[in-house]
Amino acid sequence: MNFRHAAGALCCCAALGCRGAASYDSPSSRLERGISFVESDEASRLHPISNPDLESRVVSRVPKNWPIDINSSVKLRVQRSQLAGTEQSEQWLGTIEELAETWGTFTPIIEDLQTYVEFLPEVHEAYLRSQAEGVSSLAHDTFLEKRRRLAGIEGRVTDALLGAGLSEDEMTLIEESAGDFSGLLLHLERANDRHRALTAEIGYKLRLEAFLLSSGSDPEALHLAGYDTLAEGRLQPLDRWGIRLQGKDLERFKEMNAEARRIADAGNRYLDGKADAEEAFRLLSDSTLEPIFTLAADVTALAREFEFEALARRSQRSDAALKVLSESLQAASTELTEQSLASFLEAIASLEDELMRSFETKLGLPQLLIDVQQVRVMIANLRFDDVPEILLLVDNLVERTKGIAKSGDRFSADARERSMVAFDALVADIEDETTARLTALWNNSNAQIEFNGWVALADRVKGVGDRGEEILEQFQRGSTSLPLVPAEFPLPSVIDVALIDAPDAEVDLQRSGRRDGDTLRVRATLVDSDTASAPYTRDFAVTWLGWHARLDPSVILAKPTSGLQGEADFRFSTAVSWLWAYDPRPDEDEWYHEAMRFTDLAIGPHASLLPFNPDKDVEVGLGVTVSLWNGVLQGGVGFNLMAGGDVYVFVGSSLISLVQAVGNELPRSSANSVTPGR
Amino acid sequence: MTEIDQDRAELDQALADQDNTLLILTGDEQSNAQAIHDKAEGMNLFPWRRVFILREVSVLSSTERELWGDSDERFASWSCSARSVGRKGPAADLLRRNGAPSILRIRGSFAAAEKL
Repeated sequence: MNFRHAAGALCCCAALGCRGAASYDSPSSRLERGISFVESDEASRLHPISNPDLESRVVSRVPKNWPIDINSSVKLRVQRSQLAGTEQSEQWLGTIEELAETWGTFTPIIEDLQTYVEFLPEVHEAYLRSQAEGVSSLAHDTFLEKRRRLAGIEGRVTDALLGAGLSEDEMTLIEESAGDFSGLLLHLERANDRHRALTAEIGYKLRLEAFLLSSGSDPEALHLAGYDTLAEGRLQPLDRWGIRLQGKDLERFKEMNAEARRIADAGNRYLDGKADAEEAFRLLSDSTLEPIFTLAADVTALAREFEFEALARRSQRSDAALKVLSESLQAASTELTEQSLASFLEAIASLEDELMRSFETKLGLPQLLIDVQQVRVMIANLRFDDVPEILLLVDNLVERTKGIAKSGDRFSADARERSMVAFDALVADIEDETTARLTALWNNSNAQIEFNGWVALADRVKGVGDRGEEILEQFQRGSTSLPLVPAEFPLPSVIDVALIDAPDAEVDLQRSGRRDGDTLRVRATLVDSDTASAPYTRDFAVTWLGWHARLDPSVILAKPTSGLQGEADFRFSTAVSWLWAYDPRPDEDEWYHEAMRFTDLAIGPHASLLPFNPDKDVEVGLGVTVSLWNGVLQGGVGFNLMAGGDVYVFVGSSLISLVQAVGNELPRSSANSVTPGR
Repeated sequence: MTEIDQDRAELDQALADQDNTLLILTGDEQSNAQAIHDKAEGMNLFPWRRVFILREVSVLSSTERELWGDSDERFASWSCSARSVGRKGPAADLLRRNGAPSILRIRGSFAAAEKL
C-alpha cells in the first residue's frame, strides 16, 4: 500500500469508525434552561449532563451529540420557574420556586407549617397546665410530649429552609417571617397561590416526548411517566460483556458470520485465480456497491461526449446550423431587422457556450472524471486494503454528482426559458402570419435540434447527478440518516401537563429495543390553549460507555508464519473476536481517554477458521485480536490448533462496523413504533 | 434583661423549672453573642424558652463549663427536663452568612433541645 492509499485508508477508517465528539452550547431559550438532563447508569450511578455539578439543577450546558450508555436511563429534571418565565418576577415567587425545585414539591413544608400552627395552642395550653400542676404531675409529662412533637416539626422546617441553598435575598425574606411561623405559613401559602394563579393565567403546559431512532426503522416512542399513556415496555437489559446474545442480536450475529464466510470464499476465488479482480470485488461488495459502479459507467460514457474532439465537433455543427438558420430567417422575412436577428442568434449561441463552460468548470466534471477513473483503476487492480479508500472516493464521487444534479437542473430550466425569451424578442414586432412562418422555420431547423441537443445533454448530466444522490442516500442509510419523527406529533397518548404540576421524568433505555448506534431523541414543547412553541429537541447517542465487550465476526486475511504451513500465502478467512473496550464518558478528558476516543481501541481473544490446509475441512485457530476504529481495522496473531500450534498473523475488518457504515442493517420492529402520519 | 454578670440567681431559677428550654450564650456587649441574645429575646417566642448571656464564664461551675462551653462567644441549648444539651458551638454558628443573627438557627437550636 503506498502512502496515498495508506492515508486514504486511515482517513476512511477514522471516518467510518470514529464517533462524533460530544460537545455543548450555553442555554439560550426557556426550554433549554428549563429541562436539565442527568444520566443514571445501570448501577444507578449518576452522571451529569446539563451541569458538571450533579447537585445543581441549573442548566449550564446544552448537550450536543452527547453519548449515553445503552443500559442507562436519562432523568429529565423540569425547572418550572425557567419554563414559566417567572424567574424575573417578584422575589417570593423566585423563592418558592427555588424551594420547590430543591424539595421536589413545596407541599411538605406547607403541610408541616399548617400542622405546627394548628398544634401550637395545644402546647401552650399544656404548658400552662404543667406550670399550674407542677413538675411531678401528669400535665408536665403531657407538656413535654407535646413540646417534643412541636420541636420535631420546627426542626424539620428550619433544617429544610437552611439546607435549601437559598440566596441571601431569599433568606432575608424567609428570616423576616420565621420569627412567627404563622406569618411564614401565610407568606408561603400566598406565594404558592399566586404562583399557581400566574401559571394558570399563563396557561402553559409542558409536552415531553422521547423517541428511539434507529436507521432503517420507524421511530419508537418511549414511555415518560406522567407525560404519556404508553406502555412502560418490557425490561430488556443488554449484556455488557456481549456473550448472551438473544433474539434479533443472535440472528444478526449468525447472518454476519455467514456473510463473512461468503466474502472470504469470494476473496479466495480471486486469490486462486478463479475470478478476476472486478468479478471478485463484485462478489465482495454484493449489491451494496453495485449501483455505484453502474453510475461510474454512466459518468464515463457521458464524459466521452465532453472530450475536446467531441465538444469541438458538436460546436462546429451548432455554428453551421445557426448560420443556416440565420440565412433562412432573413430570406423568410424582410420584417426582421439585422439587429434583432443578431441578438437572437447571439442569445442561442451564448446559451450553448454557457452550458459548455458549466460542464467544464462549474459542474466540476474534470474532477468527477478523475474520481471515476481512479475508482475504475482501483477496481481493475483490486487490493483488499484499497477497499476503505475506494469507499471514500465513491463517497466523494456521489457528493460531486449531487452538485451536478443541482447545476444541471438549474441550467436546463434556465436555458429553455431564455431561448423562449430570445425568440419572443425576435418576433415581438412582427405580424402574426410572419411569426407563424418564422416559428415553423425555427422548429424545423437543425439549429433548433442542436440547441435541444445541448439541453438534452444538460438533462443527462442532471440524471446522472440525481441517480448519484439516490445512491448516496442508499449508501448512507445504514449509518447516518435517521428516520424522521413526524412534526405533526404528538401521539394520541401524549399528555400535556400544566407547568405547575409538571413532574420530573425519566426515559429508561432498558425498556426499549435499542442498539448501539441508535439515537435517543427528547422533545419538549410548551403548549398554551392555542399554539405550541417551537419544539426543543435534544439527541443523545446511544452507545456502550465504560468497560464492555462484544462478539465481533470479521473477515480476515491470514498467513502462517511458522511450521509446515509457513510457506503458504495470505488467505481469506473468518474469525470471531471477543473484544474488550473502554469507551470514556464525555467528562473524562485525560489524554488516554482522548486516545481511546480517537482509536476506538479494543482487544480480546479470537477463534478463527483457517484455510491453509486443503486436506482438512476445518482448521481452528485461537489467538488475540487488536481492533481499531470500532473494528474497521483489525490485526491479530494466533495458533493453528490443527497444525501443531503453528503461528499465524492476520489483518481484517469487522463486518458489523462495515455494514453499519455502508448500510444494510436488519430491520427492526417495536411495540411503540411510530409511522409518520399516524 | 437576662444578662448575667456575677449574680446568676435568675439563671438558677430558670434552670430549676423543668418546663424550660434555655439558650445560654457567653460574650461581652459588643459580641455576636449579644446580637444573638437580643434577637432571640425580641422574638418573644414561647414562655418556656429563655435566653441568657453570661459576661463571665467564671459564674459557671466546672460541670456547666464542660457542658456549655468555657470561653467567650459560645452558645448551648439546654433542656431543663432532660438535663442535656441539644446543640452547642461557637456563637457564629447562629449567624447568617451576612453576619446577622439567624432566627432559623436560633429556633433550630431550641428545637434540638426540646426533642430530647
